[in-house]
Amino acid sequence: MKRFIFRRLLVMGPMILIVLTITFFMVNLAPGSPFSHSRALPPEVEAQLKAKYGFDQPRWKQYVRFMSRIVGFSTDEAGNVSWHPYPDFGESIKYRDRRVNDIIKESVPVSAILGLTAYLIALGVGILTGAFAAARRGTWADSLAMFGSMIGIALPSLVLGPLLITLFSLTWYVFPPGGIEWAVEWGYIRIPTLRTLALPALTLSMIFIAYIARLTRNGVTDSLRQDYIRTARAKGLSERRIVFTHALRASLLPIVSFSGPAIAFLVTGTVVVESIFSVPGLGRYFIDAANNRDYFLILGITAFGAVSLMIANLAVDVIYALVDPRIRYE
Amino acid sequence: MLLRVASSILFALALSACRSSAADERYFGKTVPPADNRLTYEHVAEPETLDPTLATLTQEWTTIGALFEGLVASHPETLEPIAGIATHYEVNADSTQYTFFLRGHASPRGTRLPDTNSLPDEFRHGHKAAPAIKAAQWSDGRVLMARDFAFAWKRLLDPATASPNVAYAKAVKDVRALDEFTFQVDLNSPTPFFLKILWQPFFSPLREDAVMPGWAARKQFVSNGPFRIREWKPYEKIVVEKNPFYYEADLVGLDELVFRPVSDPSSYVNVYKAGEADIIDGLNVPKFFLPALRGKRDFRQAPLFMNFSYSINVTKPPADNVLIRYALNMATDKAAIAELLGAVPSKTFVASAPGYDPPAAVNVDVNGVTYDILKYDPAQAREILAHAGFPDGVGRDGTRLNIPIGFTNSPLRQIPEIIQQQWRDNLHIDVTPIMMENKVLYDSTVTLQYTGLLESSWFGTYLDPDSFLLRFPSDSLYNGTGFKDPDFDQLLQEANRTLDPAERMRKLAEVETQLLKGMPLIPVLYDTLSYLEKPYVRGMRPTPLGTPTCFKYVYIDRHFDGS
Repeated sequence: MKRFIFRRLLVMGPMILIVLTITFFMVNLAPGSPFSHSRALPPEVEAQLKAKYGFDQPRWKQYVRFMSRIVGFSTDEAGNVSWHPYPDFGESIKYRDRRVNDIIKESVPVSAILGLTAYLIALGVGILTGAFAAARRGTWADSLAMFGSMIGIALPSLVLGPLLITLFSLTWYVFPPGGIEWAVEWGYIRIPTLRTLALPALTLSMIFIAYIARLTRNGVTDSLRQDYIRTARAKGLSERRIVFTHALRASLLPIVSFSGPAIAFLVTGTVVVESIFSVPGLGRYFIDAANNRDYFLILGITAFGAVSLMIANLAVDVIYALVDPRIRYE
Repeated sequence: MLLRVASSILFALALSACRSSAADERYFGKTVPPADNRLTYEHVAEPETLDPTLATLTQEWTTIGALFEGLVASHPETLEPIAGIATHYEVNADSTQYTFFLRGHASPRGTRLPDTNSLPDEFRHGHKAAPAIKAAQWSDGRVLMARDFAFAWKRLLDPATASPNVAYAKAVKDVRALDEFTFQVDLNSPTPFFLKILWQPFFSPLREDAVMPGWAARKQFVSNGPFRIREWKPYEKIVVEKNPFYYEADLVGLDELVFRPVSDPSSYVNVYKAGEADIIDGLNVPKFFLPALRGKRDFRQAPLFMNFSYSINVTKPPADNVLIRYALNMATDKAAIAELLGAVPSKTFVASAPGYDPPAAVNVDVNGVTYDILKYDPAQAREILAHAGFPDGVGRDGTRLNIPIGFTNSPLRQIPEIIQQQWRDNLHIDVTPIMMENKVLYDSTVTLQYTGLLESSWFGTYLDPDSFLLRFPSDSLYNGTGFKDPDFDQLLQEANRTLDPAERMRKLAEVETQLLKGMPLIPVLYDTLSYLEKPYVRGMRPTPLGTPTCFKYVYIDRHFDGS
C-alpha cells in the first residue's frame, strides 16, 4: 500500500508539468493580451509592462522561466537565483501588487469550506434518501424520492440559486441573497456564519444529493438481492437493520469513487454558485482570470485544481482498499 | 403527508409575498436603516488596484474618491470645481501656467474657489467650511504639502510607472512645489478648461514615503480624503472609515462606508432589495428589471456622460467609402433602438455637456444634392448607397453588400440584431453580427484588425466635450477607426486654446461637425444610469460620469419621511 501511494505521488509530478505545459501554450494562443484595455495603453507603457512580466522574451524563455518558478526557483531583480520548497506562480497581472500564491491561499479556504459543507449535506441527505427509497422500492415513496432526485439533476444551480434567493431572501428575508460573513477568522482559515453559508451550500449540494441518492438506491437495491441479505433476513433481523447496516455498507463503493472527483470539484471553487452568491472563492478568480488573460493566475489556479483532483483520486483508491478488503494494490 | 407539507409551504409563500409587498409597495425591498452609522455601496466588480495613479475603472475611481482628494473637488450637483486641497489658484494670461495655493498657505492669492459654504444645506447639514488657513493633513496626521502633489504628478508622467492614465495628463508639461503650500503646473498648450479635468483621481496627492511596491494592496495606507482604508477583502468588501484628520471631518456624515462588489447582474439588484446594500451604483441593472423598478421611490435614472456607438474601420473596404458610412448612419433608426433599451438616442457623438450645443444637422453635397447625414431617412440613405456603387444594396460584381458588426456580451448586445433588421429593410444589405470577448474587441479596436463595424462605448471622464473629441486626433491612442483628418486636429487645437468659454464651445461644435463629416462611427445612444438608493440615504448624487459625488456629504436620515 505504501509503495502504491509512493508510486502514485511520483507520477503526479510529471502529470502536473504536462497539464501546465498544455495550459501555458493554450493560454498564450488565446487572442487578446492581459494588457488589452478599453483605454488603450501608450506603446511605451505597454513595453514597460511587458518587460516587467517577461513577455518581451521569446516564448520558450518565458516557458523555462515559468517552469523553473513552479519547481521553486525564483530570480530576484538583481538576478540572484534562490530556491524554496514550494511553487511560485508569480504576480497577478490584473490585480497589480498581488501575488498568485496569496490569492490562492486567501480564496481556497473559502471555496473549500463551502464545498465541503455542500458535500456533507449531499452525503447525509443523499444516502438517507437513497436508502429510504431502496427500502421502499416500488412504492410511491420510492418514485417520489427518485423523481425528486431527477429534478435535482435536471435543475442547474443557475436556476436553483435565484429560486432559493427569491424564496429565502426576497420573500422572507431569512438569509442574505449574497455575500459571506465570517464567524471565525484565523489567518487564512475563515469559517462563515451559517446565515450566509446556508443558501450557497444548499444550492451547490443539490445536484450531488441527487446523484448520491440514485447511486445509493441502486447499490442498496442490488445488495438486497444478495445471499447474505437473505441470511440476515433468515436470522430475523429487522428490515431497518438489514437496509441501513448490511446492505448500505456494501453499496458505498460507487459513492466513494464518485466522491473523489466531486470533492475536488467542490473544493476548487464553483464558478456559478460563487458568482450568484458573491462568495469570494477561487471560482470567481478563475473566471475573471480567464477573461482578463491573467496568465499567471490562470496557471496557478489550474495547477491547484489539477493537484486537488489527483490527490482526491488517490484518496479514493486508498479508501477503496479500506472499505473493500478484496481490493489490493500490491 | 409530503403533499400537505408542500401545499402549506406554497400557501405560506403566497401569504408572505402579499404581506411583504403591502409593506414595501412604494419602495424596492427593505427600508430599515442600518443600526450603526454605516452605509454599504454596491458596485459591479472588484477593483484591480486602489493606486490613484494606475486606477481606470469606475469602481476604482468611486472608492478612491472616498479615500483621496485632489487640488479641486466637484460641486455635488453641478460638478463645477470647488475648493479641495487647494483653496485659491492663479492662471497666467494664455492659460499655460496654473499656480495653486493649498490649505495652510498664509497668504493665498488669485481666484478663490467656492468652498463648502456655497453648497445647499442638504450637503452641509449645518456645518461650516474649514478655514483656508488650516493645513490639510494625511490620515496619519502629517501635514499635506505641495511636494506631495509634485511627487504624485511626476510619478504619473514617468513612463516607468506605466500608468494607463498618462495620455489623459498629456496637457501637463512640468510641475513643481514653489514652497510648502504652493504648487505650480506648466502646461504644454493653453488649456482654459484645466480645472475641470483635475477631479480625476490620478491627480490626487501621494506621499513619497508611503509609495512602495504593492503599497495600495496593503491592509492600510495613508490617504488624504474624507475616509481612510480599514480593510480590503478581495471579492468581498472594502471598508473605509471616517478620517479624523480630514480638514472637514466634522462634515463627514458616516463613520464607515463599505464597498461591495457583486458581479452577477441579478444578485446585484437582489442584494439591494434584501437590504444588504443601501446604494447601488446603477451601472449593471439588467434591462429586464427596469419595468419592475419604474415607479418605485428609491429608483432613479440619470443621464450618463457616455456614447454607445459603432466604430467603423475606415481603412478597409467596403466602409472605406464615406458615402457608405453616411448611408449606414441615415438608415439606422436610433430612436427605435433607444426606446427599446430605455436610453436616449444619439444623433451626434458628444454627450450633453453644460454650455455645449451639438450640431443639429450636418449637410453634405453628394452629386449636387444636399443631404443632412444625421437624419434618419431610409429613402435618402438608399440614394447615397446607390451613388456609392451599391444600388439596391448590390455592388457592380453582383454581390450584396455585407457589413460585419463586432459586439460583446453587454447589456446592449441586442443592438446588432436590430440594426441587421433595419438595414435589411432600409438598404437591402446584409449584416453579420460577430460576438467577441472584451479583450478581443479591445485588441481589434487598437490594431484595426476588423472589417466593418465594432461596438464602442466611450465614457467621458470630465464634463467637457473635449473628453469625447480627444478620441479622434490623428495621434490619439483611442481612435480605433483609422480616421485621420488634419483639419479636425487643427480645429480641435484651436478650439481648446480659446479662452472665452462660450466661444470655445461654439468652436468645439464645429470640430464635432468636422468629425461627423468623416463619419468614423455611427453614434447610437446615450445610456442612462439606473440606480437605487434607500430612502434614508441623504446627500448622495450620482453623476453623469458614473462615479457618485463625494461620499463626504452622505449621511443617514433616521427620521426619513416614509409617507
